[in-house]
Amino acid sequence: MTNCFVTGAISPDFIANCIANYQSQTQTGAHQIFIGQVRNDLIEGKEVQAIDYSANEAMANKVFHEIKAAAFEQFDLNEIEVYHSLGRVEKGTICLLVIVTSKRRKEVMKANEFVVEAIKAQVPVFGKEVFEDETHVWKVNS
Amino acid sequence: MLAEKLRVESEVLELPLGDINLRDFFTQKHPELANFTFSAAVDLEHRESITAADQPQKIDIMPPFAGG
Repeated sequence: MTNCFVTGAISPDFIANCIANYQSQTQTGAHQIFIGQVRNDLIEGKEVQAIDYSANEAMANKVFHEIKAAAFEQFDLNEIEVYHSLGRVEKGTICLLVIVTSKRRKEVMKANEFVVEAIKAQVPVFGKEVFEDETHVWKVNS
Repeated sequence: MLAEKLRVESEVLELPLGDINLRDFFTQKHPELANFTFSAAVDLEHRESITAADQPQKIDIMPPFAGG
């Protein structure tokens, strides 16, 4: 089963390489890319500096696989790539990358939203929001 | 998060006979859990309960998910 986790932030170079790899897939006419970035939320007067991600990795990779399978069943897609960070990701840097490709734009738009929402709801990934003084609170998705 | 709150990373469980509601079971075992939202997975599958026929190898209890 594919490992969807990368250590630390997902770099812009990594994303550029993913996109470049699709140049050989000439049956693809549309890509929809979702990039999740760590926000510097203010929580009780303290600014989030980073999120430290952990996961139930075996289960998470299995659920990522199931979400991709469900998306392939529901939409007419060529490919789905999902990468999520583990470990510390600083504010302003990237923690989630979802790329969905298809022949046509409408399919990728619907499918990308489906995949991102499913990841948020179903994948056992946990995040500590870390403040400047290194105290933390546990993040809960809204 | 839950491991941090309970100060328990893992434990060997002796499960009672019959059907078990996992939230009730773990809350009874660790009363502090009553204050937290959590879900359970049995052998990597989301589950709320197990039956007498199940023979789980691993049960995970997990706080709300926060990916992305």
